[in-house]
Amino acid sequence: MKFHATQVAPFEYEVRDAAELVRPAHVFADPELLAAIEHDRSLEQLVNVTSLPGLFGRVYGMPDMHEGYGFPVGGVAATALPDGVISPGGIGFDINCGVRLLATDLDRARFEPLRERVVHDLSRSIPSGYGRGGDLTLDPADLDRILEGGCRVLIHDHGKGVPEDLDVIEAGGCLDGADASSVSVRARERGAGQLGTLGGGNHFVEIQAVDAVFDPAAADRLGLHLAQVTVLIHTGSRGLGHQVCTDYLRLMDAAQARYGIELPDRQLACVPLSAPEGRRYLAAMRAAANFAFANRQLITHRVRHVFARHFGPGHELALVYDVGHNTAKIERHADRELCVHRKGATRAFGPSSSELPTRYRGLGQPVFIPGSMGTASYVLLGTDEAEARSLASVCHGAGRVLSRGAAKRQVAGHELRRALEARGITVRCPSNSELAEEAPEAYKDVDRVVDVVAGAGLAHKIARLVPLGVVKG
Amino acid sequence: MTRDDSDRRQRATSTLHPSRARTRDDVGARSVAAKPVASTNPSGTRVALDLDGSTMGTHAFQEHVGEVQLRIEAASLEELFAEAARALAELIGTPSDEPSGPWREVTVDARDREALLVAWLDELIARTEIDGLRYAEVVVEGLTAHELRARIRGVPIAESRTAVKAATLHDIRIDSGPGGVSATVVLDV
Repeated sequence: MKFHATQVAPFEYEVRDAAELVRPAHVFADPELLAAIEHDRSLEQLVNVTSLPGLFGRVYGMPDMHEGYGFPVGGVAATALPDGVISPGGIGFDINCGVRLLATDLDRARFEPLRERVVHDLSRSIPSGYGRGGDLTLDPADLDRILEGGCRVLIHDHGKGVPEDLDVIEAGGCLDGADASSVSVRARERGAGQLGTLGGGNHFVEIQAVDAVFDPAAADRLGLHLAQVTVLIHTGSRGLGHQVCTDYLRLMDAAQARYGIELPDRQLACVPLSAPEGRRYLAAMRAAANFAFANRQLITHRVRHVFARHFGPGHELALVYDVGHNTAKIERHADRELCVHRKGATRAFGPSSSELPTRYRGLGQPVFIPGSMGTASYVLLGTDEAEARSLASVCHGAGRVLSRGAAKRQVAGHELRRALEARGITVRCPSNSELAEEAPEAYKDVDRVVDVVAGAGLAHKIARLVPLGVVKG
Repeated sequence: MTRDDSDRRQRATSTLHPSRARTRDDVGARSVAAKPVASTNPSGTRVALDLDGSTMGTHAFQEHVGEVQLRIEAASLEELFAEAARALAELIGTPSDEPSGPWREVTVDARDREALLVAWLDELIARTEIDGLRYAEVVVEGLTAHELRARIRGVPIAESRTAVKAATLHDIRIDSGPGGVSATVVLDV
């Protein structure tokens, strides 16, 4: 299928298929990013999303969008309740994968002499890949409580964090309406022992330094200042979430015909939210999301222990914010109750949103856009304007442009490791081959992506963070 | 095209035994594991041969921006499913020298053969994660358009390569022709 992209606003394009057989979709980009997006099948996938029954308004593609399966990565779509659909493929296998930022009270000069040791210690303290384990043993009842109570349970019952953390986690670290009984035995088996682990792929723990502040007053309210050391954690719901998606995708693939649903891609399988299968998936997805919040919380606890070991007790690692980017949320927009699917996209509520933590009222919701390994990451704040323009959504990263195979052909992992270390970035990664897969060349230019987000008015830039050390999942 | 997995492997066989999804440990399976040898066909594709010289399936990991697209070709549907397991094991990691685990009996079902291939891969992905083993040894014991019965045996992973989350239904297809069957499936990694 051929597509025409017509610019309809600054950094916003309307995409139509040549035959105009399906509804148009909207993409936030500049000409160069649009060209990168057109290079793969993400526009076709985005337009396919417009076929979801009960769709409300437009489907949006973020500037980091790339080809995925079913939904593109970087796709946003809302369906109207009560009968609009919910699609597990519109959330993804890694349910509530997300990022959280910790702010230390150390500056770069104080940290640098211990950089190697700290990064090494983090890599030993936080299992990655297929790794399991850790210091928290959960019996089935404990796991149920975490699935339904998220970070609250981990902090209040297990002491893995401080109550103040809950103030600055999306939804207070727990999605209400989670039902542990909707999570299969297989999902529990996969998740057992995985709490507090990174997983693989593009997941990471990165130590960074603030190297630019664009809005000092807002940065100050977030607890950020120039030369400060921060820690960014990127991971999700691990095997438990993957299995929840697998289970319900299979269920919906079989059930959707009963609701008269036919779609151009089987991975978009869906049922109405009002259907029993839809309600059950929502409850299971929320449970997996709570597992993801708890996973990032336990990793936070371990990061804090590592810093305490090297810098002594009393050094605070304050949680700035935690936000997911693979979710479906029930939200009100334009006076309608909607199910907003964000796959590889993050919420970006503006200063007037009632969903903001008390601490950030009037400021806007913190948004984190990590770059690729070795490049900068950005802290932004959502705008009120984003609600009308993108369902209060922005991108979740830089977005891939090269396949993993192509990245490995273009980049030698051992040379990348040397180059990063020559720039003062300590890397811990199981293999050079996996390192090459996440090379900066494999991703779009994060500076350009962030400029599109800011230029389109979806969020505004607060600070830029540069990497000092990376533990790759 | 890659085909360098050096696991012991078995010929696929086909008999029909309908039953619901289950996995059972150590069913006392007896295998006549054949070590494959490699040959090169005129197009340069590496092809695995059994010791009797008959061909087994082949697989390739194709370009996909975000994920891994797996292409499998085989003489029969049974071999296609067995080859899918070997491809997945190769993607997940290298085998250790430790002894194999017990044989397990696995049954998966689905609404059609494409969904069955996805369900089969999902079963192996989950088992790998739970057991810490890569499952490259497969005996297909029964296969219909809706159900697969197989025995599988795994070995511990020496070096992990790619953590695979799931197989997807996106662009899933199985084509049959005079030369055999082929399939394309996208894996979320």
